[in-house]
Amino acid sequence: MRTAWLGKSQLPLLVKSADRDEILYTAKETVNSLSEFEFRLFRDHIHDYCGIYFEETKAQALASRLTSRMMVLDIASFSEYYNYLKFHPRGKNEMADLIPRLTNNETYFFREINQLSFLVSRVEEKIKQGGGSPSFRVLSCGCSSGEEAYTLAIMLEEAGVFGRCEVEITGMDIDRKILHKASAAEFTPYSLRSTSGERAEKYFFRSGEKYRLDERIRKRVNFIHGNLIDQDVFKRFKDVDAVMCRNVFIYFSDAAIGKAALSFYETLSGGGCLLLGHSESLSRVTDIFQAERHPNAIVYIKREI
Amino acid sequence: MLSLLMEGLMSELNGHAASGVYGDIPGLLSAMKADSPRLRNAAKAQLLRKMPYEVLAHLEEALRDNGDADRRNSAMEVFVGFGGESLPSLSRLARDRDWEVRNFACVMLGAIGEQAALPVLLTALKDEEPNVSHAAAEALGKMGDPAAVMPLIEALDMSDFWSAYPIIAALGEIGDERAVGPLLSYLENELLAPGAMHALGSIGSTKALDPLLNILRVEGSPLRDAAFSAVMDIYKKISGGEEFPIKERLHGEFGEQSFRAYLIGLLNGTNHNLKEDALIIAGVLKDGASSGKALELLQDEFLSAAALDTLKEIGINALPEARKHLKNPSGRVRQALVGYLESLGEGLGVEELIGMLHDDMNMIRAEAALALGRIGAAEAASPLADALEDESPEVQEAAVAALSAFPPPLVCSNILPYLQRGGHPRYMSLAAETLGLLKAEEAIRPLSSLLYDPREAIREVAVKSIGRIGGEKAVPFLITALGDQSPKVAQQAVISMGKVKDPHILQRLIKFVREKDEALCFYAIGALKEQDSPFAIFSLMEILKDSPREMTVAALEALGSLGMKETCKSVLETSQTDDMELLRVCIQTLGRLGCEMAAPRLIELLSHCHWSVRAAASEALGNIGGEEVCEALQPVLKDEDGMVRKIAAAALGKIG
Repeated sequence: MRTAWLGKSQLPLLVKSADRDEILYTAKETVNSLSEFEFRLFRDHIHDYCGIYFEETKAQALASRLTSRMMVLDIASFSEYYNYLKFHPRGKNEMADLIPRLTNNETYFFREINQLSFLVSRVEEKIKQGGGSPSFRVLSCGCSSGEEAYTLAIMLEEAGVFGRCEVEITGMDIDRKILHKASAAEFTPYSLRSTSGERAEKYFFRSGEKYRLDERIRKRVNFIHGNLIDQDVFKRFKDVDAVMCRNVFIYFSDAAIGKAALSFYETLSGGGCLLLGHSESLSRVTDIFQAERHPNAIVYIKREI
Repeated sequence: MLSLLMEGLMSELNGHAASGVYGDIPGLLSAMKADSPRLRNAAKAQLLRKMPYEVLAHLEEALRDNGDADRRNSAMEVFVGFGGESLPSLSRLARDRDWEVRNFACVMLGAIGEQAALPVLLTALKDEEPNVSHAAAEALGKMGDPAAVMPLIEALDMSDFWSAYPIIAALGEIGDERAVGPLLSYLENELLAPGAMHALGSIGSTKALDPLLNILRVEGSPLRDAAFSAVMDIYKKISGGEEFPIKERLHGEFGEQSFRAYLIGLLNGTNHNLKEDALIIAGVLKDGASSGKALELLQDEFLSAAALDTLKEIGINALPEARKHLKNPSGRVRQALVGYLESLGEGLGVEELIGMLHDDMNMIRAEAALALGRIGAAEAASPLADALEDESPEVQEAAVAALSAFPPPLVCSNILPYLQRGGHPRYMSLAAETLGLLKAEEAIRPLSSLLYDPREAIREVAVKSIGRIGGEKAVPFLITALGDQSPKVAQQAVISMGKVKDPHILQRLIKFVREKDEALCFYAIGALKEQDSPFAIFSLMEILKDSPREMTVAALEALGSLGMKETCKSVLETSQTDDMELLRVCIQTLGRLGCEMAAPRLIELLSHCHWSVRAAASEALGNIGGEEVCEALQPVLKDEDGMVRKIAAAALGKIG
């Protein structure tokens, strides 16, 4: 909480929020515990807003994430913060600040690339099939700071498909701040921890403590703001060939997964594919996609209904 | 209440039930072998929800199924899940004809840990099949019941190596001093001595120290390290002190040089546990010679925390070595050094910490700034003021926090010249914020000059800081800021006014509220809450009549926090609304006010169709109390919603 310090004995430890640009100085005892009643109000409100669902066992985790925002706003009780989200003129903006703190934005270049290799092979197949001017559209949902979408762009560049196919890669996330970061395409060494030295040298420029992505790759990806459970967001996309939505559904309720899956379904072209994280599955939620096993990757293919 | 996820899993289970796959008990046991952990857990939960008598026979059958180990393991999980309710079955199975069944029964009894299983396990300890007696000893260890100590010691006397090992381990786990003597007799048994020493360490009795130190003294003994571990376990257990003056004992027994050589050997070794213990003891002995090795171990992911503690314990004697590592290529090492230098306090590590304000890594510069703030050495004020201009926001904010811990005149003398000179907006904002945090009255005038800065963000933070400093001198500047062309600055001025108790301010705030000024009323409501005046309360009650929703909620919250029962009637009138969210806030406010006159309305709301209203009403009634309320809450104990039931029960408990 950025309030007056009373002396050096009160100088607290540095607490980092999910957003690395924001540093909070806080003593943890300042906020009361989250009651079951308050937990349920927050849980339902968050779920209705964006599909993220907290099980009862995660109440403590939710409380600590709410607390980090309450400290910034100088709000001492959960109930007051809930009313702030619901009624305050800045409540909607606050919701937008809170949501990114509820999930882990962890992503890095060349993470679980078997699925991305599958996409590269799909683009190549499409080129081989010939036809007028081949195109391939990919939507990276919950793209965070863009590493996954950019990795795909790098792999497609290495496969030499850009001159032969009109590729469109779009990253989508609910967090506007993270989208700014994604567009800026500057990364910490941590984001490059699975990137070979050769690739780092070839596609990045060192600028102080940051690595700036080569402009040619950066331009291959566009970013837009969007909430995955808002079906209107997807209206602007048609005939998408692939949707990547990896490690997002782990935070969603089944109902929200069903809603997002339906939007993906309607956005994808016939035979289009959906890529989920390794620990995620659609089998218990919907059968509008058919799971297919490819070398080291499971891919969901749009079923013809 | 089942979550949606669980409902999904259940429907999956039920779907299988329809096809005859998972629906019955054997089917659920099969489902426990599924790949999906969620499905496994759901199946187990289903089984545990059944009555034990329905399930136990199936479990027993699965336990005897040697052809399907997964099924048997699932059955064991459910047996254990039933806890005490499995005891009669398991006690019988512990006497089964099949030694494997006896063996599994002992394992499960240990996992359940119920004291009632003790006689069965003690019988099994004497089982002719070594595997069963082994499992029984392990189970007794897990159970930790001291009543097992004497029978275990008795069994130990009669045992061979195979049986002795788990008995020794069990005696260690139980941790009863009566086992020390018998265990000491095994120190000469080459095969069992390590286990016995481990057990002695776990028991933690000083009676074992002399024999253990005797072994530790023997250079080249293969048992030396195990003895050291045990000594350290005892030391940690009794937290040092007079009972075990470890420094004197170790140096006395070995001679300082000899023990130091042994310690360095451990620190250079490969065993992490021994290294950790060696670090602890190096700290206790304040052994400066170990500081180099401790500094090296700062790089070790698992040992860095222990190494840092050691350096802190060694204190000033480690400083010469630490200085050599201030430019260490490892960020982890440099970060740890910040902690070490801070531990030295004022006058010793300050110069080095000031140097670390120029480290390559943002995080380290930020931590060095905070450490300097915590130390509070005067010579750090100027470098910290410079750090406000650091390229990293992380460091800038750390510098603000650090500077705010210094005496105001010291900081002002460093910051004010920068502020007056003007500069980068980010720096100006930080400097202004620091002055606000310091509550330095002398900073009000320089801050007021920022109210005319062309940049909105700087004017905003200046107003915020003037409000924080507060007092009479702040009043005219806050009133000036109300006229700022930027709504954000004017809003901040209103918010800041809440921090200053002054009749002129109160008058202004009431005006904004009465006129329902579109831009400022909302913030004025919050500020009025802080004013604690009857006029403020009256204005807040006025707001409740025919105002936009967000203003009504703000006024309700303000009235709730002021806690004046006289405002109940207005809140009660506001509760006559169809807006469910607004109704919930009204109920919570009535609860906070504790007004008896609200009881009938709240009782009426106990049968509202939405759980949140019923829950809020129950909670509020708990604050009001009374016979009528108790009576009204009784039926809520049977509410369809589990949480509402719980809240009603808590409310009744509160009323007593």
